[in-house]
Amino acid sequence: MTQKRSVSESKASRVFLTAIALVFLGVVLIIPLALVFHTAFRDGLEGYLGALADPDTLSAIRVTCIAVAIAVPCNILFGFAAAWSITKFEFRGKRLIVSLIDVPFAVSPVISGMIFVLLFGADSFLGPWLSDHGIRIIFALPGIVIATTFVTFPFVARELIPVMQMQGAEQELAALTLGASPWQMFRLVTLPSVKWGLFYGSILCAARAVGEFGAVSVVSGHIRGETNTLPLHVEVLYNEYHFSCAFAVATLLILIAVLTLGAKATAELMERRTRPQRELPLKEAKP
Amino acid sequence: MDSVAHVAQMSRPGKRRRQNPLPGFGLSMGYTLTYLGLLVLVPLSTIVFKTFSMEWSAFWATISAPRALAAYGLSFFGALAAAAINCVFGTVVAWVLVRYRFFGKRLVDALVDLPFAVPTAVAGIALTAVWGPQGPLGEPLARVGIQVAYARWGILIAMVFVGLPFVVRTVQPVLETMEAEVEEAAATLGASRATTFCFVIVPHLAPALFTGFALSFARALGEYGSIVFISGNMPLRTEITPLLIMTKLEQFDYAGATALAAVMLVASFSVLFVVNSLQWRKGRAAKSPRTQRANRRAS
Amino acid sequence: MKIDIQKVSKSFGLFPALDDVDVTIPSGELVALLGPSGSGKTTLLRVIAGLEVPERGRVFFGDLDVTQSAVRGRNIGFVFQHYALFPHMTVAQNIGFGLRVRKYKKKDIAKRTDELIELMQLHGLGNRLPAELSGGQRQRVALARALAPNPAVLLLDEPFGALDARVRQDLRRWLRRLHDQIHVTTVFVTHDQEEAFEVADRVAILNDGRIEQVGSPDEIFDDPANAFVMDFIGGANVLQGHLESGAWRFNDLVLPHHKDFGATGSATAYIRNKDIRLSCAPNGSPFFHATVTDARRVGLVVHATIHPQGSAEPLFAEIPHDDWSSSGFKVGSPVVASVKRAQIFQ
Repeated sequence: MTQKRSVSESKASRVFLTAIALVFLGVVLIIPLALVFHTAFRDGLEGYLGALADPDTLSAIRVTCIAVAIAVPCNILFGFAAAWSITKFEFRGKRLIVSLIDVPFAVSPVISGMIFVLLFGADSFLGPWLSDHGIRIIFALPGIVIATTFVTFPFVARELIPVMQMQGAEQELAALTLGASPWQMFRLVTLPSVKWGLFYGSILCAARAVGEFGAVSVVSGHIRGETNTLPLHVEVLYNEYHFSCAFAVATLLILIAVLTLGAKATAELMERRTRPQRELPLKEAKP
Repeated sequence: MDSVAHVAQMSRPGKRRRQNPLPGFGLSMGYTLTYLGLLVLVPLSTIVFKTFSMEWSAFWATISAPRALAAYGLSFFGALAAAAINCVFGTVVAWVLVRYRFFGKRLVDALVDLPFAVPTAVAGIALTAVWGPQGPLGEPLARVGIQVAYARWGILIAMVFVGLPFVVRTVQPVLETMEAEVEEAAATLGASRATTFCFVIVPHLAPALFTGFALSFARALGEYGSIVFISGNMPLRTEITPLLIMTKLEQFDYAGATALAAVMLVASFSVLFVVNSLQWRKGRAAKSPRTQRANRRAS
Repeated sequence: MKIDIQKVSKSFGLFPALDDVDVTIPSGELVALLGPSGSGKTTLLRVIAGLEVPERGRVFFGDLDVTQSAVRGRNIGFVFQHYALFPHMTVAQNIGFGLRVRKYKKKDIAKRTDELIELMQLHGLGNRLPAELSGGQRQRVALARALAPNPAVLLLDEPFGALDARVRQDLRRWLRRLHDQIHVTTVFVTHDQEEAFEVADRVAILNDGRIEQVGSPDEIFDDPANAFVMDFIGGANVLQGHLESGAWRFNDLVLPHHKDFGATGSATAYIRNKDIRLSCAPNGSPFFHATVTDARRVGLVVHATIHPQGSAEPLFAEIPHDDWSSSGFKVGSPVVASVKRAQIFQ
């Protein structure tokens, strides 16, 4: 949104500031990411496709997909549950729960992985029991799934909470007075009213699940063709000096990131279009 | 008020009456608490248990080892410097995006979120490629004797990269909602643009800037993926704390890793706590739908 | 359907929103709940709807105790203050919602929706989204949506509160006509007495969670039950006097009363501005001597300020303009102010 302002800077300083901003973004963001594509195609299209078709790459894609397929639905469910209870009801300890939802943002990814090693690893309290029953969690797929779920669980909730808060409870109450069952209320009123927030939150959650590196790195054990996710595979290729292959796989991840940004823009646009008719006071329902 | 209602409800145990006609509180609350308990509280508590199972002297020796101290210093001051740089340039970016018109503005606006969306490992190799000795920016600098990648400069650049969106996305909405009248009033009172900026606009932005600074700082403090590729990972010189934890984990020194993690957690939670309490102090005014959207965008 | 509210209490924390409320709403009537903000009127409406559960007391629809039954089982229509239209549904989908969740056939939903669109004068708006309607139109959509499933009871929370003055006027009359057409038991909440008196068959006045008076607009206006009601209706002069031998006295003004007060003590008389007449000589009504200190014409009436002899407090009188100009009074004229009617409360 550009605002018309009568009081502004001189033309020269406007151009200067814009130039600073663009050069800064160019150096920090654009050049590095453009270089990824440049390097990825250094060996031509064939080399690029070859890198992607490599069995280890395909296996990494498979592992990543499994992690996403489990983590995202769980976190969507959590997002709804948390947003519903936090925004539509009053209870004690609400602030604590809201803060707990932010924990993965405050914790270093390495620590996020480490806590699951401490919980399920060979050295842990549960470790002997797990190994007696032949269950492998750390350095295996389940660990990757759990760490991914942990790192990405806030995203859907963080998108849904402000949207639901803004809408208050009145529409749901209206649905109940009109005779809707709880499920009908949810499906016909709540879900459509948050669908764009849900859409963006889920995409963001999925994108982060695909891209998580630190936490997964701790729990995966880097077993090639078995427990490597896409970002871990990039690391392995890079450390083995297969630069163009590493960058080729990286382009996949950048494409996902760009799609995420596209989804965000779409969601914001659509949300603005179906903006509710008024700026609501935050809580309509009495406690 | 809350607690009184609670007591009033408790005093009639025989007749439990629903207070809110909306369905699903038990179910949603139950799921939320179970999920948070199993996924957050139980795993995090392992750090506490592990830490308390250590001898105090061993714990102290681990967290005060020279290598650890060097890592804290690097993480702390690197994150501080990166957050400061982001405050300056992030404000310029936000200013330009809100106030000026130029070709491709919407695209640039969208790109600001890239560090948020791009996996850290990808950012790491991309930054290394650019600033490495053969990179398009690293090579000219190397020729004049400045080594960026595999040195502390590289760590700083990675930290700037990951923290940038936080500052832009907290400052931007405040600039958007700022009344033109305030600046016009300053102008009618004879203030120059520079004076207006320093004495009117910056104080107005200060809380948002502080939040952006803290978020950017916290993110840089914990960052791992993008830094390991560019830092060179030399103990005592370019080894950040998360990397030191990682190294200890790889050597199966879980106790040592936990001790360092405990130090880091205390640091990051303190930052978060300060930010939150400031936000709560700013009060319910900050709860308008508009700022809520803004906060959401900043996350 | 008759609504019977028996000894209902409800509090939010320490704040008693409803305190032992008893009220009956006869079948087919249009009843207004009137009161200042915080008087509990909205809470009472929400208790009837089932959106709040009372701590004590019972709510009956007809002979059925619905105190504990869920909102959706009560067969009510509720119009929210801000309408709470579903923003992602068209007008027609909004109106048909109550039928859709009751699994009506598509054909029947369409038929009923069309009927209501006709009744609510919303022709041609069926495919619009709520965001594309004016305030008055949204209000009517909300009403249509509430009426579509043929509710036994229609409840409206400040139905005209969010509209501007002109639209309010129109919608009020229109709601009255609509009620005469469909005769569903209707309760609405308002803080605007003009609205309550203009629209309702019966008005219940609430204050501090209690019912102060229930009655037809005439009853409330002519025979207010207590000082609060009198005060709330407003437009009256308040005089502190004392009781003496079966009459209320203030300086030379003596008002006889028929109430069962103690023999002596202080009491308050409320004299409506329009119940004060100014003349040159007493005309048989109770009267006092006064001086006109100000007179301003407001449309068809003159607002006169008069000072009774021996009192610093001014009183206000509303005189029809024709009477005023024929009397020839001016500022400064000594007058005899006679009191046509007064309410005395101890």
